[in-house]
Amino acid sequence: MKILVAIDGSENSLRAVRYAVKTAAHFPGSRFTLVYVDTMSVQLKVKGGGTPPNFEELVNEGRKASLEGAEKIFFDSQVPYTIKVLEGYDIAETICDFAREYNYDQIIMGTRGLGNLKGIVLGSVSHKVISIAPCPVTFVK
Amino acid sequence: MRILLGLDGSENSLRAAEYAANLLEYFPDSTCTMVYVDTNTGNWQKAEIFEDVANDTVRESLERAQEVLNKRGLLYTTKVLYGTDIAGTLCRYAGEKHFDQIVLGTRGLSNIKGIVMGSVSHRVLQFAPCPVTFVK
Repeated sequence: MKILVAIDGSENSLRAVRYAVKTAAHFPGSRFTLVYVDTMSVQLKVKGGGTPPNFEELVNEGRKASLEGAEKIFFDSQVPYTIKVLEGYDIAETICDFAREYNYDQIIMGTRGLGNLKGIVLGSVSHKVISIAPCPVTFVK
Repeated sequence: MRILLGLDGSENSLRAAEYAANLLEYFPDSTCTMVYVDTNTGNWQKAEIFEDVANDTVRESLERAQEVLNKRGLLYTTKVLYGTDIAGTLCRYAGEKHFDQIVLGTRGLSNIKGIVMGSVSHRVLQFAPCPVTFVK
């Protein structure tokens, strides 16, 4: 069973990671991929006039901060995992496209549990993932 | 692990039943409660044929999902709740009975449709006391 754990470094996404190692590890033959969608690098690139001189630094810092906590949880519980950093502007679409392309059986992600209205205003990733996901999705609050 | 399987009799909720059945097999100490929220009761209470109508819809919705679990020889309990707000009723029940996981079928409506048609899944996501799995 191929499991995609989407992370963004927030407290909620760390809860999703803990849920993943605790619960989903029981799934037979489970293989984990930690996926982080890097929206910053795309935004920096499209600003025009080439990338800023400290581009690498900016991007790497963002990635490191987001992955660090999640990696530690996996490392501590001795569950093998792979990491994938995706570049994209739309987080939900990027995650779901990746899951579809590589035939993942399950997506696990954290959610802030925003209301309907707030969800629209703040651009709810989870609502969008529900509507376009190719496989079952588990949300952890 | 205590699993709450929310049902509405649709194809998607049957797939959710399959998913719950998988969970039951993977986790030896888990129990499954099928929950159907009956929204008709409020609307029909005054009608003479109320009992018949309500019971038929409930039975039909539950039966197909029960078949999925029966086929695999899994145990479950069934619970019918009454309320107009499906998401609220489900989540309150899950909180009161300390469920560890909610499994739901979803139609996968887009954002706008979801708002217009009153998406149950969006509301469950908002109010759920525990992790929720949506199955399409």
